[in-house]
Amino acid sequence: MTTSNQRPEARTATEPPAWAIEIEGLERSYGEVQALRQVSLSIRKGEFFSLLGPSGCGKTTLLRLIAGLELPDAGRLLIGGRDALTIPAHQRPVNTVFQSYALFPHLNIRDNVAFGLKMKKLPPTEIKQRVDRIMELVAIQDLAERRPAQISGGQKQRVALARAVVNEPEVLLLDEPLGALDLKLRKQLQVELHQLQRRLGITFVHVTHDQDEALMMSDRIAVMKDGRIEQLDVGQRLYEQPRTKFVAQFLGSCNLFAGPVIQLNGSSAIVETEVGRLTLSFPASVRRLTIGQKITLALRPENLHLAYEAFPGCGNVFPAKVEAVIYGGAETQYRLVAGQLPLQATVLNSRMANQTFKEGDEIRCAIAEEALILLEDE
Amino acid sequence: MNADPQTNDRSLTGALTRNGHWWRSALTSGPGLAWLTAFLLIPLLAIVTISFLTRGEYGEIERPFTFDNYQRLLGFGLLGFDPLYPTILVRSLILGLTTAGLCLFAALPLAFFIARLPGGWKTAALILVVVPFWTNLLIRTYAWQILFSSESWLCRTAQALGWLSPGTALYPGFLAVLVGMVCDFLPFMVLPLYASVEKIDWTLAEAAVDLGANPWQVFRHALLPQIIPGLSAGWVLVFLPATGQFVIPDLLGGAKTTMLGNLIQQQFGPSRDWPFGAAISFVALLLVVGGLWLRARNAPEKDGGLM
Repeated sequence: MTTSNQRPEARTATEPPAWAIEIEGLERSYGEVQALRQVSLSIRKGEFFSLLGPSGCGKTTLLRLIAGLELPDAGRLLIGGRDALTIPAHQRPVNTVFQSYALFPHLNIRDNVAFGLKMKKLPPTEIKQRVDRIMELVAIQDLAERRPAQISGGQKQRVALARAVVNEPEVLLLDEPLGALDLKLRKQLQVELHQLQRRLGITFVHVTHDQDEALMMSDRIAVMKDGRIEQLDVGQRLYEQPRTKFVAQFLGSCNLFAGPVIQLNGSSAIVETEVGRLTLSFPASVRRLTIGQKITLALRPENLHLAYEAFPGCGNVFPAKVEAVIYGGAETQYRLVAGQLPLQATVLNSRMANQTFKEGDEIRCAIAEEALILLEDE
Repeated sequence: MNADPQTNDRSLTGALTRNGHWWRSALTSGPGLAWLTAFLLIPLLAIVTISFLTRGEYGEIERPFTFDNYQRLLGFGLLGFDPLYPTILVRSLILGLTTAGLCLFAALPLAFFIARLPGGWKTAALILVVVPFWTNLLIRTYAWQILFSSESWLCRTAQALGWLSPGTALYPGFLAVLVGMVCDFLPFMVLPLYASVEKIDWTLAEAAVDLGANPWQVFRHALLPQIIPGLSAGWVLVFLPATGQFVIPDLLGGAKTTMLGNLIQQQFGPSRDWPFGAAISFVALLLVVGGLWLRARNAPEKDGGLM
């Protein structure tokens, strides 16, 4: 964004705001449907931020509100410290990479990329320089004279990216940018996108329903559900310490245990679950538990350890039966049943691996106390 | 890379022909071709031929071959330059252009409005656009005569408001002609435009807004290119007949001015000068074809010709 568009009062502030985007109590409904309910969040400058959630969770609506393509019913939205709701969409310092790419079919690739600069009526020499540089950066310089109908999906994606980035926005909005591509290309572009963001230093706000994509690319992720932000954190924390059942299940798969607390000792608790008594240790910062309270525990499949014989010195051990073995190359997935409770376990197939199990085997499962995640009530 | 659909098409036709099925295409396109040859191509050639012949004393078509008819049309008659015929030509073109321009001006917002109506209302609105066609053109035109005469409520109101000097009327006059023309031709502009507007990909408009285009730029760069096919179809459908139209200018303009249409009609009718009439017809045809050719040449290749 050119500095001429920045308001003088924002410039006079002693130090530039650390937030690229600040959102407070944003609401939006479509008739009866509430797409966004009281959404508040802040996005740091230079951050790769992902909005993750199933379809209909409001993530795209939030993106469109930031872009200015829609207006909220209530709430505040600041972009670079300035109130953005009073700025019409075409003057906001943001650009969007659309899910369908939305390239102009009547213009060639070069003119598509130059579109935003031409709208701002920049001098032709500057337009040419900037367009050339960006097209080289995303490796589409050979396509300059082609029409959008004549290039592949992956190439279109790059053109859409170049067309947005060439305007040097404060924030780049990406609406499921890789959604229409096949898996292999998607993996490749994920890496490229991540590198590009690091190189340009532009704040990226990325909408996706693909948890792997979000985990791989983002600095922080907001998991959304029913128009609300369910949890906002760095990827690792979201995966290792999901707050709710929804987050635990949406990011990766998990086993769930439920039951009343029967004993409390400082930072550990014993819970009577479907598979028997499980000991859980939790940091002191976690909410207080009371005896008799019904709680839900989550466990990642890779943290469910399997063995034929007993685990010496481990408390959380219970028997289970192997129902199915799914070999997946690097790892093997086991479907188990413990009592009535179906469970899943993932075992890495390294040369160091101790054992493999067969369908129908009666085995034992063990869980480390720290691996159990205490979930909030829903 | 996508395969070029045209090459596919060609190879398909090629395969059919190689397999000896050429008679199939002859059978299917034959009747149409025969019809066009008998009733369009041959008469057209006759017109062209006649236009180079001479009118006999009693209106016969005689030799010798001559360019006199065309010279006359361009204003170079026996008595030196006379701008009568070029004026008629230009006047007709101006009427056609003005009508088409006004229709476009009126139809563009209307097409967008209809396209954005909810389902059932769309159909209702389209029917309303077409409804005037259910009344005969002459009746509609006479109705305008009455409405624009000095004693009508319309003119009285205009007089009362001071928009019109007392006792005067709108009919006959150029404004009345334009009103009649636009009302007659508007549906021909609205319908093809609507068909294009209906198919607009609005994410392109959003993309343009996002890239900093102001409302006018959005229309110019994101919407207009998408409705060019409907726009040019509508333009052709209005401009061509409007240029040749003479009933409305006659009835609402007060029969004082000659248009291309009545000039031709005069030559084949009262004046019995078929060669001159043929020459005018042919020049009018050339003008029209020339216009279409220019449009097709300047249009982006994707549009696919006329429509």
